[in-house]
Amino acid sequence: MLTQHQLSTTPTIVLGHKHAGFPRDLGNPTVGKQYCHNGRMTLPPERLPQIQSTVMP
Amino acid sequence: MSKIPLLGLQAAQFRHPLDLEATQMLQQLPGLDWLVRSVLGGMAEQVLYLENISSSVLVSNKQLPDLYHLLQEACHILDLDLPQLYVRQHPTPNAYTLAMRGKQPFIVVHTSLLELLDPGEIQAVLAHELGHLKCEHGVYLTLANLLVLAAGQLSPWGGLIAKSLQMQLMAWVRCAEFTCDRAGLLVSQNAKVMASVLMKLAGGSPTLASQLNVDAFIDQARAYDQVDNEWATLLKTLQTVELTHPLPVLRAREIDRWADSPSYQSLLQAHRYAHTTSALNNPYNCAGT
Repeated sequence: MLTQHQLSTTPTIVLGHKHAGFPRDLGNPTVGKQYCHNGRMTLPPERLPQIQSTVMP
Repeated sequence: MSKIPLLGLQAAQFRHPLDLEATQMLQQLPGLDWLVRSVLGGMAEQVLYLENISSSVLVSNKQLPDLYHLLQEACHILDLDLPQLYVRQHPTPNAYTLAMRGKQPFIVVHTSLLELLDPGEIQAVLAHELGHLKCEHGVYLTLANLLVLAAGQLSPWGGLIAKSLQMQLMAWVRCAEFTCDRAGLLVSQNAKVMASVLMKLAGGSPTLASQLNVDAFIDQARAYDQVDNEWATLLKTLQTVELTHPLPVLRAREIDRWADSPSYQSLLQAHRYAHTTSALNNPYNCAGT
């Protein structure tokens, strides 16, 4: 399940090459490596409980 | 020793050569940068402003003042107006900016980044993002991206041309990151601080922080270079070609090299002289009387 948190933290505007343009980020090597979760692109599985517990205490 | 403010600093003075060349080429096309800045940038800025102001914490002298002071000092050193700074709840250490000096320029930092780094390193991250703002990478990279998109529409070889242009565009994107690491160095004025940020992004954690060794991390770049044969060259190209940022060890080594370069040393030296002269000529400066 995608939480509000995950949906709201990807403000990339897709124009041509999806990573060239704005916004520019710092470059965490793990960013951009997406994981397929129930047919949707989401965060690594180990991150999910952490996020869900944050958003839905 | 206090840090040297780089008053009058121009983006061209610290841009990576490829970033400088590509930007200057696009600046020859009059009106297009204005179009990106005012139309696309204006819309994006408004969308992101609403998102930031509604779902993040806006930093000010009343809200997280220590963080605000780090931003103020970084802006002073880079001679840049203060953008808005937001802190956002997120488990992946990162920071970003629209990289466009529009009506409401901003930087967002994730909470996990603040947990991972010490104050000097956090300021280097803010400086990296300020570097994007100073260079307005959002404007020029978006413009280049649109031109690549347009080239792709040309038939019958449009696809091939676009593919080749896209590889060049991504090389520019990566060099733009080298530029902004340089902005991080210009503010920290200590290459180890910026390299430490990159090391922690690659494999740091709050509990490991005190045991991490920056020099050993920079040495890893040498090990990477030593893997040198035709197969390795192909693998390295494949590994890099689609990346938005250069590999972390190469970024750390690049910043270490630039810190020793005549261009960085002379830039700092010129401003050190100007700063000292101005301080001595200031009648209200106790140190100068």
